[in-house]
Amino acid sequence: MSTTPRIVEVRQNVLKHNDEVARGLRKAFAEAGVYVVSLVSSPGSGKTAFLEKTLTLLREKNFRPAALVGDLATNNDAARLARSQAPVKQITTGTLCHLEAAMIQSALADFRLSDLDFLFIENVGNLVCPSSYDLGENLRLVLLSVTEGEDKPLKYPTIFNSADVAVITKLDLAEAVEFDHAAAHANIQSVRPGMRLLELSAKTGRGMDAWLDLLASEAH
Amino acid sequence: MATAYAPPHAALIRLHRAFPHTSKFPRDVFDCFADRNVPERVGYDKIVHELSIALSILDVAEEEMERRGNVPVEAIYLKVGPLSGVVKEALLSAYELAREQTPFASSRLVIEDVPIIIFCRSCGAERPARSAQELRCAHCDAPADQIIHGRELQLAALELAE
Repeated sequence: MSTTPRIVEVRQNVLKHNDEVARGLRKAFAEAGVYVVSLVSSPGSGKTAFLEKTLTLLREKNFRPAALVGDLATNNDAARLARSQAPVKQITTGTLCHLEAAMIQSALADFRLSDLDFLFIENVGNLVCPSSYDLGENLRLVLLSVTEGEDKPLKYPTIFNSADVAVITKLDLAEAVEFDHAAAHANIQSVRPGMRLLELSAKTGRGMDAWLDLLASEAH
Repeated sequence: MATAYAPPHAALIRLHRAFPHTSKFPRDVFDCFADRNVPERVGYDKIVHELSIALSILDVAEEEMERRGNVPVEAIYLKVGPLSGVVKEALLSAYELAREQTPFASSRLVIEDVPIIIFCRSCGAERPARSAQELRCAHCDAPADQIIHGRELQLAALELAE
């Protein structure tokens, strides 16, 4: 069979289905007055401890936070977060290394958005895959613990580039691991000039106030 | 507001059916690549990620093909920026697996690399960036103010057999 090829322009985003669902979510969040924050990091960067502390502190200030937690297989993270008394729902991703907007949409069926002030979405521990998927969030945090090494931003520029705020965690261990603050800051600014940066310890509570201030100013 | 998962989740299930010997994802998906020339430096995480992306490409391409009267597609043209989070070699390998038993089984995937272009305030112009690691103006070294190009993950065109 002899054929003459013809090239037709398409110009569609590969992840357009995800983007469409994310747009719908963002609209629903705005209408319900919920401020949505997603968290990405390597496994073991302290996402769950940070989130547990955040949920507890927000509840003490009479806010109504809730959390969705993505995990490959276990519900350990959700069980830990439930100690804060905030509503928590687990999303077991099983086959997928990241959360997608449709998963958030399904998981939200159990929540009344109008009863919430803040919704936190803890992505699967992974610095590669979550960067591509919009979840309808207002703010994306990338967490980096002091034990991971200052050059992590240079190794994973894309995830830092897709996030709004970099959060350096486990500050209480900084001295023990001889964490080089200046180098870490320089690397973050190199991959994302002007990126906002927080340093904190969920364990001691140091730096949590600055984080809650940032959250409050962003949400209003 | 519960809805069924949109693709590519559905596509992963389709792939699962196409490869019944892969009883568990994602480990076994990786095993499928064992004999497929995946470059050493491309790790396991990347393959699983690129497989999801490859399946999304096929979903979008299939919609576009249907819209054009199901004319066979010879090639899919993709634009990929360094800030898309996609590794070209891994995507090409993943695509080879994903296209099997689909209307695109013999369609090529052609990837065009998109450079990172930033808006540089000191130059007052769009300029290339040094790299993803150094998001600075290649001309005057000022930090980037805004990313214009480099995040693309776009199905640019289809080559139809007609």
